[in-house]
Amino acid sequence: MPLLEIRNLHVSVEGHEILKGLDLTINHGEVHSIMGPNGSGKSTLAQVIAGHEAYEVTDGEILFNGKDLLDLGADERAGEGVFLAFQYPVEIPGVSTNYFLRSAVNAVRAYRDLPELDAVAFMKLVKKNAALVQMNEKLLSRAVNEGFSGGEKKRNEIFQMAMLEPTLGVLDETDSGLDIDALRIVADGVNSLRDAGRAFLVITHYQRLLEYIVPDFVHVLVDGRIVRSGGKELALELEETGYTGVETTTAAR
Amino acid sequence: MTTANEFNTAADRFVALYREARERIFASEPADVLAVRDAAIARFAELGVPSHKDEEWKYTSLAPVARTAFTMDDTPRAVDPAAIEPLLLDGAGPRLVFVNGLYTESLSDLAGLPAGVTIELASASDNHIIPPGVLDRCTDLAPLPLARLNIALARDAATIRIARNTQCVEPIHVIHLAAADAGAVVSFPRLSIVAEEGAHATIVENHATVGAAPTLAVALTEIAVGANAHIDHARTTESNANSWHVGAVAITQSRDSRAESAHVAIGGDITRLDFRVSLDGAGADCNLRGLAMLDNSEHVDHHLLVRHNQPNCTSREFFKNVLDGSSRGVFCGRIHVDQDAQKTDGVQTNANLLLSDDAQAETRPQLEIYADDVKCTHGATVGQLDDDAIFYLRARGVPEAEARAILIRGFAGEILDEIRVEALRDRLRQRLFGVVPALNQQPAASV
Amino acid sequence: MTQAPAQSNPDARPIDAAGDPIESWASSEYKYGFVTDIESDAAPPGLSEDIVRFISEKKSEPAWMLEWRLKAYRHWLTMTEPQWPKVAYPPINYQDIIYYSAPRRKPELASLDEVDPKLLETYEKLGIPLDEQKMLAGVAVDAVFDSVSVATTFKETLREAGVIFCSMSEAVREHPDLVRKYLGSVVPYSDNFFATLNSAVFSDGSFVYIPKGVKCPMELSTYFRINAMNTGQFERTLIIADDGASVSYLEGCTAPMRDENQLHAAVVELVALDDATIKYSTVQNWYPGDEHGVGGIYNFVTKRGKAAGRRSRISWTQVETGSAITWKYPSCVLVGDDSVGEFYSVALTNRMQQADTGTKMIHIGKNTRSTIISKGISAGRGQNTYRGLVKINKAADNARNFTQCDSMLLGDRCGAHTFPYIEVKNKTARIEHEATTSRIGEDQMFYCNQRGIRAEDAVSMIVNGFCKEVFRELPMEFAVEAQKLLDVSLEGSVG
Repeated sequence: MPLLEIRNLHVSVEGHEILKGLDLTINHGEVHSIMGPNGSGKSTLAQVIAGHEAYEVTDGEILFNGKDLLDLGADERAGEGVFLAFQYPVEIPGVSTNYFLRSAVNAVRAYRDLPELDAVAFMKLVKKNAALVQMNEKLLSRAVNEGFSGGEKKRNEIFQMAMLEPTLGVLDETDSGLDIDALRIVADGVNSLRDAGRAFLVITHYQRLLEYIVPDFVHVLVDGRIVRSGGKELALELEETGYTGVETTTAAR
Repeated sequence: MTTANEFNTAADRFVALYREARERIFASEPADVLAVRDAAIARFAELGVPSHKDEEWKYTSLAPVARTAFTMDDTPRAVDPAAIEPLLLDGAGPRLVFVNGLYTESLSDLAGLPAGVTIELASASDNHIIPPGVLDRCTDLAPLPLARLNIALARDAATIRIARNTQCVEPIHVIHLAAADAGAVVSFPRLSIVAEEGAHATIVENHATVGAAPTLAVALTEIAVGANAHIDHARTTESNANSWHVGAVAITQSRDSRAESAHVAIGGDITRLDFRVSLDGAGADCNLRGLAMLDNSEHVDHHLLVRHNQPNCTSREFFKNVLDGSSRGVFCGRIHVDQDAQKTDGVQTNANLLLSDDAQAETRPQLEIYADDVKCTHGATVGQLDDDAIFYLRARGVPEAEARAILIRGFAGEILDEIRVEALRDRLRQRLFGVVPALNQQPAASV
Repeated sequence: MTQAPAQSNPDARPIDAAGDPIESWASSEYKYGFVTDIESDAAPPGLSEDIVRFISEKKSEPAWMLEWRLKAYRHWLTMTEPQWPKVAYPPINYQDIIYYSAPRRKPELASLDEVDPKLLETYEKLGIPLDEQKMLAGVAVDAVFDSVSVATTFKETLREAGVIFCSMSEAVREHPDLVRKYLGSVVPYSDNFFATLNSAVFSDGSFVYIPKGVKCPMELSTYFRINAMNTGQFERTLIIADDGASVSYLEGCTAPMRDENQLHAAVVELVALDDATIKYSTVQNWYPGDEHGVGGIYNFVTKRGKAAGRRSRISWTQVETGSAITWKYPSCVLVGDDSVGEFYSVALTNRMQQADTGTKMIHIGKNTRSTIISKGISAGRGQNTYRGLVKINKAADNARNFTQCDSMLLGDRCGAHTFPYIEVKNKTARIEHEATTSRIGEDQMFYCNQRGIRAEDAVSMIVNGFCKEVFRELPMEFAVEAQKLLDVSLEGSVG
């Protein structure tokens, strides 16, 4: 059974259709990349998979391990193993990252029928995963994302992903705004989480990220539909021809 | 000390003034107009002249007004045309001039009146001053007693109507002069602006004083902005030291409309202006600004009440005071968000610069919110010029007085720069940066 | 609002905070609503000079105290109830109220062992054991039950340090010089309608005196409990920190659930002399009434501190979750040069609760500084108003004030209002005031949900984060208590 199966997905926001019949299948252990020009619906796809309410699914379905995701709230999807690394991580004043994360980890564990982690076990896990993305542990006592630099926010997302052990990690433009060193750290973190049971959906505007997180499949999203799919070499081709070329090809088809 | 009695006497005097004018001047008016006047004076008599016990008048005392007996002009008095010269704009738009609330044809110029714009004068046509309801709409949360007095006593009320989809490029200029040579004179300037659907116009409204005797202007401007229409309104009050100005600007806005209204106050013993805005259509956008640059014992009080009644409306209120001498700047602003006004976006700020030991600032930025999905903020600051900034400029070779002037100009500029009528903006810059003593010590630097 | 189609799973939790997580937050229980069945001595209802004399006599007061009360009573007759607060309630009949009620007991208690076991039990149930063995280490408690103080713990330990901590009645008898000097010195008997009423009929309260140079060795605490029916509670607290002294004082309050409204009109006066510090914390959880607005306490309280000495400091921290109506403005009069005033407040209104609360910072001395942090949370049909005055007098050179005033709205039938007053008569002042009103952020909720945190827990987490700046000012035990209180109020908030 595929991990994620999206069939004929139509999504609207405030009456405007953004996704117009999208199909995508991701198996365990695979890394897929979605590329496309601004406004093509990339971020919408990420938000819909994670269960954001502002997006209305007007047709189609999303199955996760055979289960209908659309029936579930965002927290339940997280429990099922869906993790979204936000393009713009949200600040929560007054709530320390540590406290936030411990609540999240234990909520997800409760959903998965796992025992609650005690403080010692939790801190151990924190140390291990913080090292993974070279995250300064001092940040953990600060309020969630408050006063974090752009790079720190993105590292915090990958750190949280490691903590919550999802089966599907959706990375929404995690690379945008990162300098090359930060990008490398984030990519190394993601690569170390790759295994046979876990899949990733990497959404990006730039080919650069894919040099560090090498995908098994690349899909091109234009105007709410996947117009081309291929291997990692497709990303390189796009780098040369740009999206305009793809769009023309589509139109010519 | 003023006693409650003095305020009662003052109210009685205004009522008597009305009774007398009703016999002498208004007698020939149609019954429906008189009914409106009678209702207005009755309401005023009920409310009285507000004293400091009234929460809305906590920091502004009308005691000097209450102690003065005023007369009202019967016929337009002659005014030297030179009096309006400094106020003139350079454009080709129409100009209406009123002296003590009476239309003065010799100073006016309606030649540039564009197609689609009509001007009705209550005394010159059959269109008598039946209020379009803007004021009523804007006063249900808190009354404006003196605006009622204006309705009772206004003479040549002007209504500017901009027809559907008319784009009026040149500003329409309205000048009100308060003139008194010997005894104290009261006037009741009144202006109504009606922008029909999709119309756009710019209105400049100047209130200035002429002569040496005390004047009281009780002014009312009503603006009804239709759906998708846009009114840009700039108002100034430029008074001499023994004049009092109590004005109100009442605005109602329909769906997707835009209204801008700015007020610049210069001089005057007491200047009080109430902005009342009722956002009655979804998606309306309102932008109010105010600036007072005061010296001596001048007193300016800006009161705002912006009422969000419908969803998705935006309002911005930015008010600044520069206070020198023993002047006093008062600000009281309230954003009221009705239960139905979801997705309201409101921002209100008041900043005060104290330049002297005796200047005072009082500020009350308020939020009253009954809807949950809103984003409203307000802020207020009071302080003096930043010593570090002055030092920084001096270290770059700018003499201290000029450094202060530059900083004050920067502070005031945030309001002035937003005035879109260039001729007005330039004139005010010229005038203001010549008026503030801190700036007089050095010739104004080039902008 | 839109949701994915085929949303049929009844267990599915809404992601959005707009409707469901908030809607039913009025359903949580008030835990302290029980009544203690105890015999009490009470005055007949109504107010007159005779009642004032009766109270004074019951407490065996000296003549000067009675005179002061009578002066207040006569002045009160000339006053009218304030109308300006943004709260609405039916007129109070002051002749229906019982102005004195005390549990019947032996005239003098030699030790805690003689306290009526029913009372001890009551305080146990409230989580305030009066048995010193069981108490939180380091907190001395004065327990006020209806009109009188029933017990004060750790008196001996405090006496060794020179600290006087006793009931107001005892202070009037035992330390008349101190009481005469300071009572009414911050809140005069003629101050306002409710304070004047209190001055006439105050029944008990706590008295604290920290001598020169003494740092009070433990937290002091008063626990107020209204029990009897139709009884007003009018306690009066007076705290004096002499030169270089410091003290941290905590106040907690609960009352039974009753259908009638009960009046609580207290007065708290603080005096800080040179280099003294007083930190006064309140967790107010009077019965708030039910979801229809029936019953609950009218909490009309005057609290004011005078930072009289140079470099003195007065700090108010309050967490207000109870009462049907709250009307209070803990204030600081900054008289001494370089003195500091602080106000940290969380006020929550739920059900039909109304709060009009805030502070006054009056800057008189030079280089005085004040900070105001106010967090208002409105839910249900609650109406929450912040009202605050910052006043810089003419001689107060270099005064500084910073005010941050935030409101959070949970639900669409509540209101949040902000009415600051800023009056500045000195150009060297620097005043900054900021206020925001917003609802719980949709994006914050989604972020929490996406990390697996349920809507209900996310609301609780975000609300507690919103209040963090205030909670961290509370003494440890109270901070935990305060967070729990908010969480109780959030119970059942997910539909």
